Amino acid sequence: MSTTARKKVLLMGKSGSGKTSMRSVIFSNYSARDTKRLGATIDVEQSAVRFLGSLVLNLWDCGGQNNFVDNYLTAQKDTIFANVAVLIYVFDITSTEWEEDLRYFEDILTALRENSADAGVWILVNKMDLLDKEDPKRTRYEERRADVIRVDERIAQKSLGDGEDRGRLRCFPTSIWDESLYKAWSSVIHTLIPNIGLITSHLTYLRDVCLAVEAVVFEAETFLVIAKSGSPLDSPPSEFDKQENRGGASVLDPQRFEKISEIIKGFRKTCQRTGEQFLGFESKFDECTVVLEPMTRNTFILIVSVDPRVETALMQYNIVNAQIHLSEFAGKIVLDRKCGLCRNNKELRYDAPGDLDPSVRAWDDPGPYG
Amino acid sequence: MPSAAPPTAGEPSKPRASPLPKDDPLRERILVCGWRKAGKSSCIKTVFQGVPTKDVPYFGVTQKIEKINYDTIIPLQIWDTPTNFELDQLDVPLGSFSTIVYVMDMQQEDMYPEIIARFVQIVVRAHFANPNMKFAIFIHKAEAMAQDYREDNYRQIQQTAEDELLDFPFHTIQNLAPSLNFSDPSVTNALANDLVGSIRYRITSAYEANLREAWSGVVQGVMEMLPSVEQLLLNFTANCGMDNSFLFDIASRVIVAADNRGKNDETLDQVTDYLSRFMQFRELYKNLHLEVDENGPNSADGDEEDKEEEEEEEEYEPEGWWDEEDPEIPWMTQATRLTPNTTLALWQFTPHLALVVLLRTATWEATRGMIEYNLTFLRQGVRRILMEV
Ligand SMILES: Nc1nc2c(ncn2[C@@H]2O[C@H](COP(=O)(O)OP(=O)(O)O)[C@@H](O)[C@H]2O)c(=O)[nH]1
Ligand SMILES: Nc1nc2c(ncn2[C@@H]2O[C@H](COP(=O)(O)OP(=O)(O)O)[C@@H](O)[C@H]2O)c(=O)[nH]1
Ligand SMILES: [Mg+2]
Ligand SMILES: [Mg+2]
Repeated sequence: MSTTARKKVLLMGKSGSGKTSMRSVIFSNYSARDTKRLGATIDVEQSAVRFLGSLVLNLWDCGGQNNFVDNYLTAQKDTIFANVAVLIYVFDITSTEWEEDLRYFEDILTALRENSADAGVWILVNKMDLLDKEDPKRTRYEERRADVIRVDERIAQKSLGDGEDRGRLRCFPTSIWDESLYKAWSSVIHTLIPNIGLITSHLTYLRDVCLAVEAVVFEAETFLVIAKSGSPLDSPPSEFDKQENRGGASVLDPQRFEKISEIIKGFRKTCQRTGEQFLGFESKFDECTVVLEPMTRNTFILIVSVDPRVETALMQYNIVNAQIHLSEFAGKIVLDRKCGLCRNNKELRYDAPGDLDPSVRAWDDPGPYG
Repeated sequence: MPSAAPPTAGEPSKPRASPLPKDDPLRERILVCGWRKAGKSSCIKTVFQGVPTKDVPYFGVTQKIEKINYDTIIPLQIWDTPTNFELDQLDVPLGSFSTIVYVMDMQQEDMYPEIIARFVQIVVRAHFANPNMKFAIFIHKAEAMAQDYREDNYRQIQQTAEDELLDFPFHTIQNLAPSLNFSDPSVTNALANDLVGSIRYRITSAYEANLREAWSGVVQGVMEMLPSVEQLLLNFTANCGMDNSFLFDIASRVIVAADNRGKNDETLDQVTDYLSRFMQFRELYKNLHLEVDENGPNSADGDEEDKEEEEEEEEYEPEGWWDEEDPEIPWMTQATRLTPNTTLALWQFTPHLALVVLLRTATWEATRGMIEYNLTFLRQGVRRILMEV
């Protein structure tokens, strides 16, 4: 039986704002430089991207020339805006027709709310690299953001419902030339992933048995970060848990996961030229012991420890032990490997044979030698 | 002859940071000159000062001579020169440089004759100031050009420079070498051929790995210990069944020695990129450390005292790079597996140097212990050579 969840993601915004570039950098391993060769998108380009085995994104890259926008808003309105999980709307920060851009956006958002009230909305204000030299404080971005939020609120007031189930709107400054793009897209993906609580609790467990500071999972193709151990992604240091504090995680760069996405994808591209593929690494430097390894078919796991007792072999051993069990989350609807972490979970049905039989070892049971 | 500016024009550049003997005489001096906007500052800054290539279009014009001290396998001092620089503006003898790097813009084809004529004048003059002077031309801004176009321009530049040297009117500079008879064609021919052989041509771009390769040639050119380090690498590589090994300067990602067997551009790009990506990754986590328990052994104070002592000692004793080492800090190591075949691995050797090797994954998995054992000898060998110079 399949557990695949299909999510419709609309990618909209004026022509030339960078929609196809983003999609190509994130999902097709283009470098930012490569996108200069992209042709204009005519009409709607649909593509399906499989994520974690159990999540398929149906990505609708909507051309964006004016006559197509009109078309979306009239004839194709119902097809396009029905059952949308996420709308990603891309603005070009250098655009000189902001009033007009905003009007289009208002039309699109109105149509979305009429058809998919609970869809999440991500506003990506793109090409920030072009303005950062002359506007280092990003005042233009803040103005644009405020305008967009006003539009969102105006539409919310117009709609008759009380807006309880209205999807959130979030705004990110992006550039295809740096890690900000990964940041914005990770944020989209993160809300769509099923069983995220289950993944997180297992990562925390894995982190703790490795005496590590953090265990982080990345999607294998895009290298977008999916989940981390301990406190949620983007938590401020005040919300870190005990293990994170013990490892001194407050010194870490909050942008590190996006940077890792960029580093690994860049290196993968270099390796393509010699016909090889990246498989994983292990490393020791300063006080850190680190491994990055394939976890399931669609993910990689990064574990970082500063405990002097830890060797990479210990981490690799624990990863191997966890692999089969973690694959269950994506592939099955009933968990049937005995696991104390899964026993009381709320996300997936748990029906492990021998759960009550003490002679059957649980996945997370350290055993007599543990 | 370059027009002689009054010697007073050469005012000393930056005031010295400290009058300690750490400075000049021990450093190999490299003079970087060339046409205005050829890319001199870009060639230096992106490699030795960690400036990201995306900032290259925003460099200001160099106003005066800038001396960049750089510590690697040997201590270097790289001199960046301003627009309209003349050799007479130097405040040290020209002969105190070991290498001259002449940067030229490959895209300025219509100017090749003038640019090269100027280079040849510098070569001749510098040769008499230091007969062992080495010369490198960086044929720069190549990234915009297709491969065959690059090769054509390369040949054209090399040919022009050689012709210019062979036709050089040496009799006009007889005063620089009174003991040689420049009216004798056999003398001037031998000299010209000598000079032709002392020039290395390199195609470079701030956006490609070839700039680092070009610098690698320059650095290796002034390393007296190069042959012995190369021999160690060669033995190690062969004994352990590796494909290639490279000794990198970590911060600049310049290769200071290699086993020099069957390397190609793809491999060089790959190992250089491997090192840069790893260093970017390390940057994200390197400050992590265990928070010490209140009750646990708190060594923080002790450490600080140690450091102060070290700093004080520095002023009294001449120091070597090994004095900067903290013996408590373990060397960096890294191994990246690729599929189907290759593993890339890195071991740090000194604060500035790391070995990167390329080998079959099967070899790595089967003989890792042996490789790491042999590696300790290689590391000791390399360190011993470096400590002796
Ligand atoms: N400087 C800069 N250029 C970008 C950025 N994103 C896209 N571009 C460029 O903008 C152009 C149009 O992009 P494209 O993806 O075709 O736009 P679309 O019509 O929205 O799909 C391409 O030449 C891209 O290289 C960005 O973040 N910064
Ligand atoms: N296309 C290209 N331009 C470069 C390169 N290196 C430098 N430049 C440009 O050349 C100009 C002069 O560079 P700069 O380093 O200041 O030259 P300098 O006057 O010789 O020091 C700048 O506008 C740089 O952007 C390169 O590798 N490729
Ligand atoms: Mg497009
Ligand atoms: Mg300059």
